[in-house]
Amino acid sequence: MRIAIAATGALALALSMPVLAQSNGHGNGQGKGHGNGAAAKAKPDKGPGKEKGPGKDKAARPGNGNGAPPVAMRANANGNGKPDAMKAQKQIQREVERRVDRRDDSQDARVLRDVVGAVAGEDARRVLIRYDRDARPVENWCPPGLAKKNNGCMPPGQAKKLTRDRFAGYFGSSYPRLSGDDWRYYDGYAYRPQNGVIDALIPLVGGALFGGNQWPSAYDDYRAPPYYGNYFGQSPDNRYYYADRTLFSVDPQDRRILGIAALLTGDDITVGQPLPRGYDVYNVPYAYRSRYPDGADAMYRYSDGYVYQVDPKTRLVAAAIELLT
Amino acid sequence: MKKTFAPTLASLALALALPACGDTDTPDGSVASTQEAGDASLNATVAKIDEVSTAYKLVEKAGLKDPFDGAGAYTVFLPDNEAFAKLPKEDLELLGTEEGRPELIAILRRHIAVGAITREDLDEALDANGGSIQLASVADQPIDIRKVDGEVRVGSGSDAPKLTKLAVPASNGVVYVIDGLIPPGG
Repeated sequence: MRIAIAATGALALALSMPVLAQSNGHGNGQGKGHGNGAAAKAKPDKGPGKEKGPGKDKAARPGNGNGAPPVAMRANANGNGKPDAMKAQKQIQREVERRVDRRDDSQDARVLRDVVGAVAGEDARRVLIRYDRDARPVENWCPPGLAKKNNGCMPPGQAKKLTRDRFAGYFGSSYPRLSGDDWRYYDGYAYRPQNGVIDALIPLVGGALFGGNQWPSAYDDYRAPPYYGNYFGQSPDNRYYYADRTLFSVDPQDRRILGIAALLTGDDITVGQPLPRGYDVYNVPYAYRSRYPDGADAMYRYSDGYVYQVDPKTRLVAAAIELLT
Repeated sequence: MKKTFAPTLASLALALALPACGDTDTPDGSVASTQEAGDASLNATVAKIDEVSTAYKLVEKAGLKDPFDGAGAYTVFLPDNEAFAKLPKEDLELLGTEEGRPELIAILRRHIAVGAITREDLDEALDANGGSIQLASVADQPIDIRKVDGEVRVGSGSDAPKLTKLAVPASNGVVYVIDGLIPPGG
């Protein structure tokens, strides 16, 4: 067991989730204006180190928003000297192939041609940045089947609304950015049509993000911190990824989603900060109750695999305790 | 053999024969203690409660068997079968389909709090906080718990469901049976 005395907002920071494709300055999508009531929750579409704010993040491409450059960019980011051109080219080519696995052939060819040409011209990073951020992915990145049926990511004519009247509100309750009635459902994805194109596209927990499906390559950067896999995971051989307050186990070989490993609050609980709302009741798991009983000097609360020690008077979090020994 | 909590002779006999098992209603109709952990995981515990057999099937459909069998601790408020039976047939059927699964998971998240919250601790916290508390959930908003006219309401609004007397401890959490779906907000 380890008691963390440093801030442990790691979950909220590390485990945010991108919208797969956005454009027209709607970087925050439907999350805007709906998350205020839960200030402690991880903001779903604001990854750590997000490079651009809402309104400027034109076509926020998956993997851009959390400050982690793509593999190829990292390979070339050493920077001042000339990169190994052959090695870099192969890395970039692999990266692009990985990212365009759902594009049509002509698009793939054009991107690859751009990249190869750019490597030769010593500006691969610029091409990849453009590849990531320009509007093209918005217009062409579609769930399987959608583009074929609708000529380039146009919404289906008879698209269903995401929520039925009976259950309207539950999506917004669980995933604030899916509040509102402008979202449509297609084949495990939520998308928002605007001006004849898809403005935002989100794989849904239980839809595209469910056992048997492929973990989206666009979500590669959403590996969960090792502790979560170690604590919640049922097999050390699996990889663990996070999206929308859900921890998924994924086969490391073929990237197939094996299942949901845990549902999480995503609460940002930080040492030195007040305990967020929702922890009025003693909730430590049975196995740890004798070790962490509430007392006059300290109270304990469980959340997402940690027990937090809290000052009963100030309600400030004093320590975060990992439950793995 | 499944446990039955309906007022049948069989359940009465079971309750009288096993008064110390701590996971059923008590002979005098009061709420059973949940102070001690149960022997089975949440998933196995829910599977044995006849009153929530519909919810159990939906939990399976939602792919939540693993988290309910795992190391994570949860307190789940499961609507009883009658609550689901009040839904329009097509809505209930939808929740059992692949297309309805994202919706189903969103609904279930609204009914799941984190940690193991015993009935004793719940009542104590209600008393200490003027009859109104919040539980951190795996949805975006905490779950409001209120004491109204001697009954415990789960969620906000006048249509918030009530806790029944059925509370069952599992090894990794607690199962409460409620008489309706928790409204999406609050």
